[in-house]
Amino acid sequence: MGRGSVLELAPTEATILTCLGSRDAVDAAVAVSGLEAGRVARDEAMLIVPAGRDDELVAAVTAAVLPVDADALVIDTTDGWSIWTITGGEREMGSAMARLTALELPDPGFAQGDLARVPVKLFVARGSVRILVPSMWGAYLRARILERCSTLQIRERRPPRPWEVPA
Amino acid sequence: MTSIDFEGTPVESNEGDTIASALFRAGVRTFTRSLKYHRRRGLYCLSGDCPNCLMTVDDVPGVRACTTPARSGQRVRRESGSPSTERDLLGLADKAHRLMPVGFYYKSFTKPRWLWPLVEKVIRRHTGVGTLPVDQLPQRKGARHARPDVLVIGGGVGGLAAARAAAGAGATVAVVDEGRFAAAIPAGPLRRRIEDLAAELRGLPTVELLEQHVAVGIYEGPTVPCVGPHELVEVEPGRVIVATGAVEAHGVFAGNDLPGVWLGRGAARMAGVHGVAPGRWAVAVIDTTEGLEHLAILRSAGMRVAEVVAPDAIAGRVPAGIPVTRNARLLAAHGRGRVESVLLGTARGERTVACDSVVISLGYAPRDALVRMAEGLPVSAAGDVVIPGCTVEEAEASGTRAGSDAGRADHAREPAQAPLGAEGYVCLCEDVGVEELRAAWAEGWTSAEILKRYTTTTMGPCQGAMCGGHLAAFVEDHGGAPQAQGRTTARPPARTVRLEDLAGGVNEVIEKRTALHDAHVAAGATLDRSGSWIRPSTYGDVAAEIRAVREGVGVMDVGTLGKFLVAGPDAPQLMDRLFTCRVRDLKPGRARYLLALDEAGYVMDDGLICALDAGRYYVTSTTGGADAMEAWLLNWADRWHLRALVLNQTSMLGAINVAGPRARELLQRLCDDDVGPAALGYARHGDITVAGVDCRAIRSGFVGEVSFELHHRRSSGEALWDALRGAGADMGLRPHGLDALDVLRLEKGHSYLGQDTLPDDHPAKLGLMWAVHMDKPAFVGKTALLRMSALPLERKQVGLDFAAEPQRGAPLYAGDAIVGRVTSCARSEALGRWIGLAWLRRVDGAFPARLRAGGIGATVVDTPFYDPDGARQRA
Amino acid sequence: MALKIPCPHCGPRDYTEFMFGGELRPMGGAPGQGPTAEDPHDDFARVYLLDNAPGVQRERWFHLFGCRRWLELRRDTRTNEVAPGTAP
Repeated sequence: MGRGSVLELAPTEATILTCLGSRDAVDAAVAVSGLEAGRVARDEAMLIVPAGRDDELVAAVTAAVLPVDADALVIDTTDGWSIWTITGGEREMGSAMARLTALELPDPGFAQGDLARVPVKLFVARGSVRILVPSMWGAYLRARILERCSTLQIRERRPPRPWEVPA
Repeated sequence: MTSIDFEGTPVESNEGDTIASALFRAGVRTFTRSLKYHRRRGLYCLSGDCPNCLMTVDDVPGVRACTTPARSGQRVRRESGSPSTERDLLGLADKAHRLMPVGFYYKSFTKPRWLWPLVEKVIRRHTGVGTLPVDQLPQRKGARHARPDVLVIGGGVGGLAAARAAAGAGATVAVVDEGRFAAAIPAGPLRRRIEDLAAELRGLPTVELLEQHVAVGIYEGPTVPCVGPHELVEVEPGRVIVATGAVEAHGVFAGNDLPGVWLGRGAARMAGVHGVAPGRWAVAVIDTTEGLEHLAILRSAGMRVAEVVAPDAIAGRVPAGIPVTRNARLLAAHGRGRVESVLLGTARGERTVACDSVVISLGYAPRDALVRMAEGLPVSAAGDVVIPGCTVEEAEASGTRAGSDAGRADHAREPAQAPLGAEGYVCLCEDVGVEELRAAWAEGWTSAEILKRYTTTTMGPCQGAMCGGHLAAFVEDHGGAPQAQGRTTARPPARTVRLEDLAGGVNEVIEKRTALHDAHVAAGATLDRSGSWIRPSTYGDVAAEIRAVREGVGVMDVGTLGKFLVAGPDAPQLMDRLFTCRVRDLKPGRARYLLALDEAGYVMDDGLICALDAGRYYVTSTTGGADAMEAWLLNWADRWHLRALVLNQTSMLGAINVAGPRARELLQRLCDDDVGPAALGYARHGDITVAGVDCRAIRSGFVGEVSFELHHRRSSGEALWDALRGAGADMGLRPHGLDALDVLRLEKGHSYLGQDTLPDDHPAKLGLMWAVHMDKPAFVGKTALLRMSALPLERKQVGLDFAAEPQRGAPLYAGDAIVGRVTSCARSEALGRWIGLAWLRRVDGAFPARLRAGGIGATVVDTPFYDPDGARQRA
Repeated sequence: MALKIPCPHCGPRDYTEFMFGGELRPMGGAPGQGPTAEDPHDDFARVYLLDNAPGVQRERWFHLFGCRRWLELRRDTRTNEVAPGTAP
């Protein structure tokens, strides 16, 4: 059995920015290269900044946004989120997500909705799903993922790993 | 060879046995007692349709023994009858039908009025149903979602052919069946065809086979919850094909419920699948060609067929050697507790034939409840559901059409209705006979839907599978108005379903934790659920925790508060028009109590508003109100087209309240910023650094002492908490939980919204008009308050002093009249007396001041109880 | 069980992801005007005299589990049939 078919859960670390502002301003924020973005609403985006490039990219986002909308907000909301990454083969991932959520997942892409009865943001890539849940539910969600996926032989990996943003 | 435990006796079971077949082989004939009259009932349909074999299996009541596989060690017992199902003294009820006429539940024992509650208890205890295990935790079941293009319900020939056709057309398919495919079908062409089709499907990657799963019903969407042995599968298919087959028509004649009366398929299943003869000698009443096939199966199991009753068309095909009576009617089955003979009506008069079994094959009733409940949804049907009694070939063709045709259904063929006799039980579940239906009709209940409700026909575990057609036929025969005819409405669930099954996947406790959760656990706190959060109620000594706040310093984790940043050019306007306080004159660095009213003027939430620089605001709400506050802020920004941005910071920020006469001294030890009364006085806020942690400190006053709410990034929480506790150790600092807070806030007369308040409390009722600036041009709820201010105040919140320990929730009496209720109460050590909050009604134009709470004297007093002028918190 | 609400930001979702915001009644006065004391009668009708129509109703829903924004829906209260949601 290849490594890809083993289902794993790992805590994940990243810097998260929230950009609130006019549609154009949020468009500009999302267009900054080197980060992953999820469009929450017309006037809001969530930006994932890879570890080690925080200062540089926060400055880049601010520089991109403020000329478009002087009233826009770019705020570090890292502490508001607990991030859990599930990795595995396509089949196992499908089974795991079917046990956790009714959401139809993009492949790849960003989604937000009800997962295990809590509101989450999802970044779906090939072979991995990153689940962002408000911090107060971090412990709950970890326990629930392990429980619901226990029959799928899910394993937990420690310590936390950095979020790798594809170049 | 395995064995099950049947009421304390081991009963052997063979491979492939159900509980019912194992018990029947061991000689059990009475499986249940009927609901009202406690009549003996035995195996009848053997297909999970009738209610005759409901038993308690491993403490779970209402399990269908005929479709539940026998497993080693299973504990099985019958659930009705007193003292037992075999010797049921309540069988006397069968001799006393007159005491329980139709609808007796609505009209007997109603005078005098006190009688019914007593009688109801007795009746409920003696009805023939099982007992729920109240002391057992439900088993937790998993849940998952499935989204096939096509869901096929029913794994017979029609269903499997539909699945094959749909998969062949490129669709993803799921097939759900209550049992294992073909397991309940006697050997023969039908069984072979099902096995072949199933084998074909098992090889297909796009087909999921859900055997031993029960499709509970078809809900909007369509959504079809399928309950399996280990999990609930919530299927959301593109379309549904119902191929649930047909049940053989229930025969209604006198004695039709005696043990020994079998539906043909049930008897054939017992003989052909389980190898047990359903009886020694049978009279078979056959109107269908399928019934002829059963004869051979019954005889191969060693059963003698004493006589066949059949119409001409069938009679000629009865195997030689079996006596045949043509064109006779089955009038009655007789016997004491079981069939001993039948009475036949022939052209030459009535005739009694001795036998121990009656096997009836009278026609078919489609299992169409799932189709009928799915009106307007993409649901079609195939096989016996639409062509009752169809051949194997017809079923396969029908399934193939339904599977490939994107849902074009076969037109339902009206099933031949089995004749309704003059006597006999129409509804086996609820013990309703033809006689009872006639009585109800005579009382004026002359439509199918009303008859159903009055007699409860079709409302039992079988949900009309056996009796639905008969009820419709009864109404038609009796000349019901056209709109009163037809089948009664089908609604989900169609099958018995346990709440724990439906709760699969959602029965979890979802708890929120603050950043300090682990610290609280380490400190030995008692943690309790408070709304959706898990929070410390105490760290061991509530009195000491209160004393620390009143005399020294205490800290509390208040990270649960709702926290919002509001920005944007229109933020000042939004804040000013939302809240009852003045906002425009709130200078940066100042904080104010805020009250949020809904449009009807009722108090929705309260909190604090802090003015930041650059026209931004920091708003806090109560713990339970955070989601609603966010929605509310955004709602009004939208509706007024204001350019305001709202960021919910509840999850990213923690908060610790440092309170007590030495709170400032404690902060000074950890902080270089000026926290003195001039820089950070009451109702001010400022950014300070405490023990290296950046904090927004807000001077608030909920507990009535000098308080600093320190709002900080969640990840710094433990460091800040530990630093405060360490630096305050020599001051007697204690952390406190909700128990201490409850007393501290009560001493200050502060309400808990939702506990001390009612949904229609406006500020005047709560004594909060000081926080409402009616001179502002507009705020949400203002016009409602203006209107209500013209009305006298009929109810208000008051503070109470009690003569002794009162009970929360106790009614308040003025004389003999109940005039209010105690909503909070506690012993205040600081004041040395029992105090509380209550709501109080106006009586004869005035609010009474002397009251009793239960037997305890209570006096209305002013609030706050403690430090009424607020000097301590303002210091 | 499965009223699906089309969210303009997130796509169609089960109604359990939303908070119901009630029947939408037009605000009195020009857009941007708040509730005022000038026409209390109009305000009274908007707050208390809801249509509760057996038919197509304009209503507001808050997408609590998704974008956390309000949307406006036209829903037939008899059949739960919905017209596409629009963000305000």
